Amino acid sequence: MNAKLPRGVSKEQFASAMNAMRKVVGNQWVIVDDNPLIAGYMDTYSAAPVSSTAASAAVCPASVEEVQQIVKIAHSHRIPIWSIATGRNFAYGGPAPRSAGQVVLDLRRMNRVLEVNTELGYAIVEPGVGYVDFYNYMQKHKLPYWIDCAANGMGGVMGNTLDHGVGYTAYGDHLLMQCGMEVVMSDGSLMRTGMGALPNSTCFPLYKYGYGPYIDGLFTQSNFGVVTKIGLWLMPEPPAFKPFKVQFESEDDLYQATELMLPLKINMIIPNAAITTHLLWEASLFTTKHEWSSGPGALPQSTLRRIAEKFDIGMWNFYAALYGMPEVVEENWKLVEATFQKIKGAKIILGEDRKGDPSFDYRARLMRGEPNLTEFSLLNWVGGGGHINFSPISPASGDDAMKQFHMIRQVCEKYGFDYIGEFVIGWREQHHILMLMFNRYDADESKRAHDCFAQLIDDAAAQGYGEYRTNLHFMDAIAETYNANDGALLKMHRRVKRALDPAGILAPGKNGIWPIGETPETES
Amino acid sequence: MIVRRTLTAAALIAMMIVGTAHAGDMKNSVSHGEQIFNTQCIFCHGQGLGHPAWQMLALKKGKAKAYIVGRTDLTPLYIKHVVRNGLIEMPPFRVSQISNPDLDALAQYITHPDGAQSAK
Ligand SMILES: Cc1cc2nc3c(=O)[nH]c(=O)nc-3n(C[C@H](O)[C@H](O)[C@H](O)COP(=O)(O)OP(=O)(O)OC[C@H]3O[C@@H](n4cnc5c(N)ncnc54)[C@H](O)[C@@H]3O)c2cc1C
Ligand code: HEC
Repeated sequence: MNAKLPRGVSKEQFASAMNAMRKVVGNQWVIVDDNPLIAGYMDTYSAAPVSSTAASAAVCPASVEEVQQIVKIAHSHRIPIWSIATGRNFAYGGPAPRSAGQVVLDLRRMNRVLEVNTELGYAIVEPGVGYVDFYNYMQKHKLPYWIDCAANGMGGVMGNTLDHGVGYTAYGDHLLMQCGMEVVMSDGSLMRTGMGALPNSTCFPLYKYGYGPYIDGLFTQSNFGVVTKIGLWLMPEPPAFKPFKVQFESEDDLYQATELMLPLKINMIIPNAAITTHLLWEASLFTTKHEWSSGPGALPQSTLRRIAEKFDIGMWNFYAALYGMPEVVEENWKLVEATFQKIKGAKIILGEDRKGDPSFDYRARLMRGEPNLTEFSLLNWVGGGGHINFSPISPASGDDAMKQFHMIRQVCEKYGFDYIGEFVIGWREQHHILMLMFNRYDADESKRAHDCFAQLIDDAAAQGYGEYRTNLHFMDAIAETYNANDGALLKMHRRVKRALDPAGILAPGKNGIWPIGETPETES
Repeated sequence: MIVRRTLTAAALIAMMIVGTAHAGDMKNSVSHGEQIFNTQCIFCHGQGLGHPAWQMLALKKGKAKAYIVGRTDLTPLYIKHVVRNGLIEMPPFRVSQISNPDLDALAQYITHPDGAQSAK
């Protein structure tokens, strides 16, 4: 008998729902919390106790029809269900639901690549298609397209896209490259967006906007439906690919590097989601904190300098790539070289200069859409597994980059943590990603990490910076910062929630969107 | 030239993820286990820098034990426990990602990559 229950649900109601769900998916695919397999649904990395987001059960359907039936049962029994696709949302909560007792709807078994069209350059995938699966599929069939993956190669196409994730090829803005969506609504009905609403149309994965309001975005970072298919555009394998790195000697070079990089990005000379990464992000591939300090607190500047010298890493490191016809790439390369040579001491590095360097290697692989997990070396920096990502958006300007860097580092140091950060460069902004690393077996350190994160949200908001996505435990706090005009946006989200999911069964609390009568306060 | 081609494929991925190991056919089971290792584990557990699990195990247990495949001190039971529950920096794997028969084949491959029968 399971110990946990969703809030407000009786034992009998829960048992009856689970029995009905077993009839749909088979006994083995309903995992209640007395089954040791429930361990796979825990958030093993966050700063808060695992129990605070422990699921009461997980249900794993294998088809759209099964999803519809499960949603109907959840609806009639008032069971909250939290959808995951590949369920590897590490740094943001992994496979766990927003609050204890919610039932995870695990869509990993729906793992088919339904279609790849090599003439029009698109694919249609189910929720469970992981990056490695998708990459292997393309390789196996020798298709002339690349995939685009996150640095967490365990993740997958749909889950990452729905949480507004990024990759590193020219198609790194995943939601931008998504086209067409199929959604199970909270009453179990099935809807297709855009051209998918027109019977017999083949334009579902070709034209995003269809007719009338464009609504795909409503089903991202939200809880208005369960997405069961998405179309996405694929990047043709380019004839030439030139990944490169530029190392900068001084932390202050971030200003000039950002200013000089921006015109290259806006003019699409550099078309990919390039990054500027700080020393320690790179260093964790080679060394750990314990090798440099046994005491508490952030490493001092003098130690950072020694690490930079020992491993020949810049205080900042810019990675990007050029793609296209060889002649064009070479012409653009001249411009890139001339641009970065303006920065005193900048070191421009190509693949042949760094054979066997794991950091150049994994970055280059990501920039051509080859999944890997090298970046998990970050977890070795302090050890103990804990990590949560603080990810504010910054204008791609030198001033903003410096301001955010100093602000975040100062707060990190106050709480005794190293600044381990990078800027992922979008079309005109940067996602500033702080990986807050801590030993989650140390209660004091976990608490400090939690408090540090909370202060970062407030300090960033006070300066007009907001986060693009977040960890389960901070979803409400961040939603509250987007509060212009008396919270008009969040109020609108909650109104939509009421209209589309009046019973409030879908992922209650996702990104601060709670159903009627439920609030963050009643939750805690 | 771009060739028009639309693939509607189910089989491959389904095979990779939910394939079952047949008892008695150990050679097959090992190659199947190896295939799972190569899709689910190798990016962390491959050899050398760039592989975080190798790096962490080298640090904690020495380089000789950093690569888990072929280690004689790991039992299938322990491996399966670690995969299902995770271990410090390593995340757990759900049964929807690696089925129980697949996990058996995987543990068999790690303990006996040469294809020998493992002690239960
Ligand atoms: C070392 C490291 C590196 C990382 N690198 C990156 C990176 O480069 N880029 C990046 O974007 N992130 C990165 N991440 C963060 C995260 O791990 C990835 O984004 C990962 O891809 C998310 O997991 P997933 O793809 O399995 O998505 P899932 O966990 O399946 O889904 C994410 C969320 O989307 C929602 N969702 C999923 N499926 C559905 C559905 N069918 N219907 C409705 N809602 C749904 C749910 O709220 C779910 O929690 C990194 C994390 C770490 C620790
Ligand atoms: C995201 C990276 C990652 C992935 C993926 C991963 N592991 Fe691990 N694994 C680790 C790390 C890191 C450790 C060491 C943990 C520690 O002791 O701090 C580890 C430890 C282990 C151990 C324990 C070794 C010992 O000496 O006790 C086993 C067994 C293991 N992993 C098996 C697997 C298998 C099998 C897979 C694939 C299904 C896998 N791992 C996938 C990161 C990973």
